[in-house]
Amino acid sequence: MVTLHLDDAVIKSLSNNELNVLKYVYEHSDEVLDMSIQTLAAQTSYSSATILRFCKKLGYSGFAEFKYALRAEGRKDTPGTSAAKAQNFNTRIMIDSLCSNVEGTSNLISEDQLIHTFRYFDSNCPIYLWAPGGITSILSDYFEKLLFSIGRQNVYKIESSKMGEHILRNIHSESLLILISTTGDFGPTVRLGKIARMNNVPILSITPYTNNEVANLATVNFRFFTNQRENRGAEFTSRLPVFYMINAIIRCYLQYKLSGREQTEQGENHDSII
Amino acid sequence: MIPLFEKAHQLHLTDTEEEILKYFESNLPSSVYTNLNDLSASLYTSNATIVRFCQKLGLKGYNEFKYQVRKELKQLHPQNFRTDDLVHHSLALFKDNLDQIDEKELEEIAGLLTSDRPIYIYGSNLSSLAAKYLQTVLNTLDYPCILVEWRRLLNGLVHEINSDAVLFIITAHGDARRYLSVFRKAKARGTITILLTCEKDSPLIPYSTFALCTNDRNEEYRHVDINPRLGIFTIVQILIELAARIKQNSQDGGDTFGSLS
Repeated sequence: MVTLHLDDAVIKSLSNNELNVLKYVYEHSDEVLDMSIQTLAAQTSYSSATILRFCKKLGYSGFAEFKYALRAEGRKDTPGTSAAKAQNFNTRIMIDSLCSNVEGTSNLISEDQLIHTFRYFDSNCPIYLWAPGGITSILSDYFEKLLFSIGRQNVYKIESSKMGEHILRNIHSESLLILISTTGDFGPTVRLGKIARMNNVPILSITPYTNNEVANLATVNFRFFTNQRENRGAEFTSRLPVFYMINAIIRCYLQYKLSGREQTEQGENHDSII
Repeated sequence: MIPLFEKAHQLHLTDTEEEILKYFESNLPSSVYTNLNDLSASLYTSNATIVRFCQKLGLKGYNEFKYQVRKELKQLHPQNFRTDDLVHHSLALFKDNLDQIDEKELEEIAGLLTSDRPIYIYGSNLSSLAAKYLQTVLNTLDYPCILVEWRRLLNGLVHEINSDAVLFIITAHGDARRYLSVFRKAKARGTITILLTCEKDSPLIPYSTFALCTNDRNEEYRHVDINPRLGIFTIVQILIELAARIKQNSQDGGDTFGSLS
């Protein structure tokens, strides 16, 4: 049996048909994990549009993410019930969970998102990278350093929100703002996103898979899977899927640049990865 | 050249249509992802003109045109840019790295990091980000530790620190010229050293108390280090998870925070 975290507001927003879908999912959670959206629609005698709306109301971008969340919940249940104290056993489960978060994240990366991103990287427009402080700033640093290392110039890190607001108010709309948020709703990040939107500056965001404010502001949004955690107010949510995603973006861009050059200068030598 | 473009060149095209064709040819492969509105805006023409151009080529519309170009491009350059492949490849590397880790050893190291010993974490250049990540999260979990990002400081430090200190050194290249003296000195003084590297033949390994080796590749692009150190970040994350579990176990029952399973 799987439990999804549904609060009252979400339940209230569901129509009768959608509630029937929910009921079906609860009763057949194991089978649903292997179903396609069409199969589920056929089983419940609703259209796939209804299923999709249902997933969106629950805060997922689509059926695939919904299934992913179901699966993650299912996995969480197992160790709790078996209550195995064996250290090694637990470590394996923890590593598996890390792995499934990265794998899920990897599956969310689409070629269209990447190509859209590369168009900004290719143009020499200034890229502003917001570093909100704390652990997330390490991600911004990582992105910045990797962009530098593959030869993308014109990347500026913004470390103070006042400075950021100042820059964004006077910015040319041919720029790119990169926002990384682990919750998707961090106040200062949302604020910068709104200012950028007001000035027609495109935004590339990296946010969790849930429905969140930063993602809604973004022009291109990459999503990742992770479990939010904190230690008495100080959060330490795993950033590994984000490191993974940034690396994947950079890797693909490098390959894209090399293949593009190969095409234009056919026959000539090109830079290769040593 | 792509057969579809060849065909287009043989047709009688208007000036605008020539321009559309030129745009596609000179902006491959990104042009096949441009949407109709963006394209018409950047060429100062209308959507209808572009659709008419596609129809001249015997296609139903713009999307079929893009699809056709993409298909022909793939046939022409099978080795070309394929993101799916790349993403799958990096996922495979990530999993390989997980398969080769020694859980027992990592648990032992996590035990050291959460003991009362003074902890120094060192990393420079891109490795400093992994070091900073480990240090920041350990501090968040109430296991204070010190970040060292300067090599000279590390050299000096190894002569001064208490012998019960733990020195956690992250160096992707495992460079002997830079760090051999540090490891020698630490060994002579009985300081525990943990080496995290991706160079499996690093001469530093015999001098370290614990050596962790990942499968990242030290590669360069135009003489700049572009090793993304993802394997190193993965090991760091596992150590963090283990430390968080130790923290959770040490807390007196009632208090709960996030699931670590």
